[in-house]
Order: sequence, then C-alpha cells, then structure tokens
Amino acid sequence: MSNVLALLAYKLKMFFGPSYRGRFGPLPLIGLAIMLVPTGLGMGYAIGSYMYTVDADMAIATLGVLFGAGLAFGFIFALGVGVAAHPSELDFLMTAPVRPREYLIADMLFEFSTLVLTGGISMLSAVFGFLWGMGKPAWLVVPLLLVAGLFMFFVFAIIQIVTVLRITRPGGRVRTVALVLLLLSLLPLAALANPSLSATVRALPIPQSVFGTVAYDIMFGTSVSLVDAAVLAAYMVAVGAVWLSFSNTYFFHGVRPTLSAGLGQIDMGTKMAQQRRLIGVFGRTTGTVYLNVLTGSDLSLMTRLNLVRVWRDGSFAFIGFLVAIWLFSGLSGTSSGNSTGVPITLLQAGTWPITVIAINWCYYERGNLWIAVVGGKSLATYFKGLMLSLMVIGFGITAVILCVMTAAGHSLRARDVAFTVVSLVGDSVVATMLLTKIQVKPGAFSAGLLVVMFATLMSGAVFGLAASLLVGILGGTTALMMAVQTAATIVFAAAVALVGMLALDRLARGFEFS
Amino acid sequence: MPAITVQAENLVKVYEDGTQALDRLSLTAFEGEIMGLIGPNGAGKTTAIKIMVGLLRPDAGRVTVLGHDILADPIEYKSGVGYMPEAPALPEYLTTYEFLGYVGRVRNIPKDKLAARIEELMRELELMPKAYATVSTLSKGMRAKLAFAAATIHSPKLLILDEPLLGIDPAGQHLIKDRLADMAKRGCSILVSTHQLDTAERLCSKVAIINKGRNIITGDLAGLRSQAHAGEHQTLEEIFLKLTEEAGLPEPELPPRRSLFSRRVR
Repeated sequence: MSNVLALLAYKLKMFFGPSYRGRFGPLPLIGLAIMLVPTGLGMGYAIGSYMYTVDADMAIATLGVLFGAGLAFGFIFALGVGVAAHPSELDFLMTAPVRPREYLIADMLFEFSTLVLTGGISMLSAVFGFLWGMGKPAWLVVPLLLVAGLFMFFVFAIIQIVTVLRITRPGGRVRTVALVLLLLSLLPLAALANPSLSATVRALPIPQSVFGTVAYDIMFGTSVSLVDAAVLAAYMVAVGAVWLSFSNTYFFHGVRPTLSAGLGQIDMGTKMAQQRRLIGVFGRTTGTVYLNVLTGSDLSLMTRLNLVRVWRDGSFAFIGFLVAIWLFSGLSGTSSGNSTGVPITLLQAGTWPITVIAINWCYYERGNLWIAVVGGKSLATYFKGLMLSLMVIGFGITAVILCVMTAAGHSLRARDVAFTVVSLVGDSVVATMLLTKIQVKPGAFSAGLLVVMFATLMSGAVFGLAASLLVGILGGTTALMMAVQTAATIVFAAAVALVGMLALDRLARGFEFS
Repeated sequence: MPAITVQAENLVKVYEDGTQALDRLSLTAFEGEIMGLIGPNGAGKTTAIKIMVGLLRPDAGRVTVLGHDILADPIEYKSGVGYMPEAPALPEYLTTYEFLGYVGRVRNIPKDKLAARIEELMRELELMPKAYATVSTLSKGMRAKLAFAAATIHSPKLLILDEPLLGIDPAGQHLIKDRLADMAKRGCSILVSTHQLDTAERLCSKVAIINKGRNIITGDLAGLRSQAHAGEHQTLEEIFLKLTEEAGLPEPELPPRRSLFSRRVR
C-alpha cells in the first residue's frame, strides 16, 4: 500500500493545482464553495420543510430518494468511466508497478476529498438547512454527516466494483445488471409519485430505504432499530467483501482518461475532440444544411457561416434540449396557475442560448479567425454576421416558445414583447462586442467567461427593461395604441442593433487575434 | 533584378511574459525565389512570419510587403499574400468545398469564378474525394493540403508557409514541393519556414538562418558555405549546426519549484 499516498497526492495536485497556482491562489476555490452555500441552505431547508409536513413513511421515502439519487449517479459514473483518471496517469502511473488495489484506494480517497473540498461547505449548509426546515437541533448535523460519509464510501465501493467487473468481464452482462440496479436505486421515487406506496418503499430492505430509516431515526431521536442496524451493517460488509475480492484484479487496460483538466480549467484538446465527435454526428447533414458560398453578400455569408457552425457543432441540439426542458417546466408551471399571460421567464429562454453560443465561439471559433485576419477583409463584417446569427437564433427560439404557448391558450402583453425583443437584440449586440475584446484563456477559472456570461445577460435585461418601460408608458389597448407600441418596440430594437453595428465597425478594427 | 517582395528591417518583438522573440531581425525576399527560414525552436521564425501576415505587431522595426508599409497600411497588401500557418486551426464544421469557398470570398475572388477555382485546386491537390466531407473527418495530411489550397486560392504574389510539410506523407510532400517550384517559376515569391534541412537544401534558392531573434546569415548554399567558412561538400545541416553552435545557447537554469502547499520552494 506504499503507493496510495503518492497516488493520492498526484491526483489532488492535478485537480486542484491549476486553480491554486492561478493568479488568485486558492480564492476561486473558496469563492466557489461560498457561492454554493445559499443554494445548499435553500435546498436543504426546502426538503426539510417538506418533510416536516409529511408522515414518517413519506419522510423516509423522501430520504430514500436522496440516497437513491446518489446511488443512481454512482451507477451512471461506473457505467461511463468509473475512476477519475488524468490522461497522464495512464501514461506514467498505470505503466508503473502500481497495484490495482492501491490505485482504487487512492481514487476513492481522491473522490471523497474532492467532494468534501469543493462541495463540503455547501453539503454542510444543506444539512443545516434541512434540520432548520424540520425544526431540529443543529448538533444533529454530526451524526447525519457520519451517515452521509458512510453512504459515500458505500457508493464509491459499488462504483469501483462495477467498473472493475465491466472492464474485466466484457460482453454486456455486467452493464445489464448495473442498469437494472440503477433503475432499482430510483425505486423510492414511486412513493413521491404515489404517496400510498411510501410504507411499502420504507419496508423494502433496499440500501436507500435502510440509510433513509437510520437517518430519520437519528433526526427524531428514536433509537435505531436492531434490524435496520443489522441490515445496514450487512450491506457494508457485503460490499466491502466483494470490493476486497475484486480490487486486485488488473483493470488498467480498460481505464479511460476523464479528468483532463483541473478544477475550473478548460482542456482545449478534450473540447476539440468532443467537438469533432459532435460534428461527426451533425456533419452528416451537409447535403441538407449547407453553406452556399456562391451567393449572397459578405454579411449574409458570415451570418450563414455562423448559423451552419451552430447547427453542425451540436450547439443547436443542446439548445433545443434546453428549450424543451424550459418549455416543459414553463407549461407545467403555468397550467396550475391562474395567469393566462406567457411568463416573462419563458420568453427569456432565447437569451441563455445566446450566451452559450458566445462562450462556445470563444472555445471553437476564435482560433479560426486567422483566415479572415490574413484575408485582408474588414473583420467588422464577420462580427456583424455573428451578431445577426445570434439574433436569428434568439428570435427563432422565442418564436417556437410563443407558438407553443399561444397554442396552449396563453396570451402576450405588449410590454413583455418589447422586453423580449429588445433584450434579445441587446444580448446579441453586447455578446458580440465583448467577443471582439475578450479572449478566454484556457487557464483555471477564466474571468473572461464570467464577463461574457453576466455582462451579456445583464445588459440585455437592461435594454429590455428600458423598452418595456417605454411601451408601458405609451399604454392603451386600442388598435392605434397597439400599433404605436409595436412601432416603438421595432424602433427601439433597430436602434440598439444599429448602435451595435456602428460599435462593431470600430471594435473590429482593434481586434487582436493572438 | 527581380523586385523585392518582403523587406523586414530591425524587427523587435518582446512578448508579455518578457520573452524576446525578435532582436533586430532583418531579411529581404525577391520575386521568383523560394526563401527558406531555418532556425532552432524558439528562434523567432513564426513570430517573424506572423508579423508579415498581420497576425502580430512588432514593437519596433519596419516591414514592407509587396511595396506596402504593413504597419502604416495593414490591409491592402494582404490581397497579394497567401499564408499557411503551422498546425492551422480550420473550421472543423465546414466541408472542404465550403471552407475553400469561404476563404475565396474572404480573398475577394469573384463569385462567378470561385466554383471553378475551388474545383481546380481540389483536383490538383487530390482533395476531390473529400469535397463534401467536413474538415473534422480529414487526416492530418489532408488538412495540410487543404490549408495549402486555402493559402493559394487567390494566386498570391507572395506565399508564406510555416512548416508546410509537417505530417504530410511523401507523396503529398512531393505534390506540394512541385506546386511551390511551379509557382516560383511563375514569379511568386515564397517564404517557407522549415526544420527539414534536406528539403530546404533542395527546394529553396536562398536560406536565412535565424537564431535568437536575429538573421545570422542569408544566401544560397554556396554563399552560406563561403560565409560560414565551411567546406565545399558540407551540407546545409552541417552549416546550420556549426553556425548555431557558434552563436551559442546558454545553459538553461532550473526554475524555482512551486508546490501545492508552499507557493515557492527552492
């Protein structure tokens, strides 16, 4: 076991080293942990408050869902990669006389440390929030964290068992069993869907229910029943025994590198490989979605170029998926309410994709700009084309949402239309202007990315609010006033776009490629 | 006397991290000649090339390309220059045809002549079978050929190539070398940076050896032999090694060690 600490130290340095050695030292890591505290506290409080209102069976089933989600995530991870290996580990550590068990122990400790160091504070705040929501004393956090820690090692051991078996026994049988177990780990969800099943879920001797029962007993100060303790111990011993029997089986030949970048880092090599894979899938449509280089103005060519890129690199599919979720949650959220207006949050669905595409542009497209730079043509045309493509995408998404919402019987207020249209234009303008100036470097915690993300969303919202206020002031529901409001919206949006065009003319002149 | 295509005078470039890439580099290239830029890694070849094509600005010095002072007039001269970068970033999502079309449009080739020019280049460089395949599916050699096609699509008067033969199979290298010789015969001035000294010896009519950001010697092989006081049968590789060793590379120092738990440890 002499190599375990050396392996663990290497893994920790590979993962935390880049952010620690960055310009701001450990501050980004601390900042990230602190930023997650309110989220943890809020989520814990919400679950705790819910559990306070339900009976013991339902509360245990809810805890079972949480433990089950952890278990399901473990199976998914095991079916995908299973161990968190940096590419260099494959080249230098796995070719050295390292025993598989030493590696597995180091990997388990690494994953535990990583979870604690990145999410420990938010996890702690979630447990505090949970106890607060349930009206329980804060000291209970200690036994609850012990149960959580025990559960984490239980899941880590299962992940490693499945990984070793999957690699050493190819043929699909291990995968099938793991998939079945994955589905079984989500069993407590049945109680949430149908509360009458909660007693049955509680009675099942499955790990999630057992861990849930023990956690519940601790919270309510009731002594943990001998049966529950025995079942829990049996699970731990069984998993431990299986882990012991398989952990020295050679499995390095099937390990795939996963952690190619440290915390907050961007690995451009891996990103490019991912992009190539996606283009391999979406690039099959070159016969139907293509760039006609022989027609249209230069501005039209650049706009179409960027739209083709968004289609072929898979961004469009990703955005479609996001919008579908957004739409689903929006529809289900509004169907139970009394409002017949389209929620403004839903209309803002087009703004996030603009940010996502702008960030993807930094990763994948900026490097290709040498073609335009050495070509001798003004880069302003390229950037204007990019801006127009962002607008087209934003408006396309919003149009789809509006069609669906209108079909579902929702109506639209003029000032919301003004907000949406102008903020989409504003987002596109500001995002493109930033892209002429900001270079996202593949270091840890890129400030450039945060600027693109927040400045775009915030400034778009400011433009939108201004337009919304203007239209609100104009008021009126007569046909004439509606026409005036529509005209005001179009003029406002056109003015923002025009200012953007003029600004891009100037900014593109100062663009620095490298 | 052939016309001067590139005249760089006392170029200086210091990067943000303090690395001095160019230290008063000067060189001159003429039409119809293939000039090889050779030098050790980090000598400043790529920096000099990037300045000439407008991807970098020098801190000091003057560059005239095709009669234009490129610092005063950074756009006009580009219509006559072709550039193939080392390991070029290509838009992976475009097809070979679309990419060449896009470059053609950027290079102001009239739309009615573009399709014919693309087809001509694709046929010459054996890219036809991959015309409608995305760049992401091309092999390294095919990518290099595509980048070469993009650099020459507008029939430039000056062609600047940074390691153009890297990763290309012997047949592909032969094809590109043939094309370069042909272009030079027709009056195109070619500036090629390479580490392949045997290729430079056979392909280039003139060679500039660059070391530590300076052009330490320029001339044809016979001229280099005489300037370097080398023997009649010495190869370019031997002359190169002799000159760069004479210039001397300092022994690198071990940088300070940094660990995860202590910021700087010696």
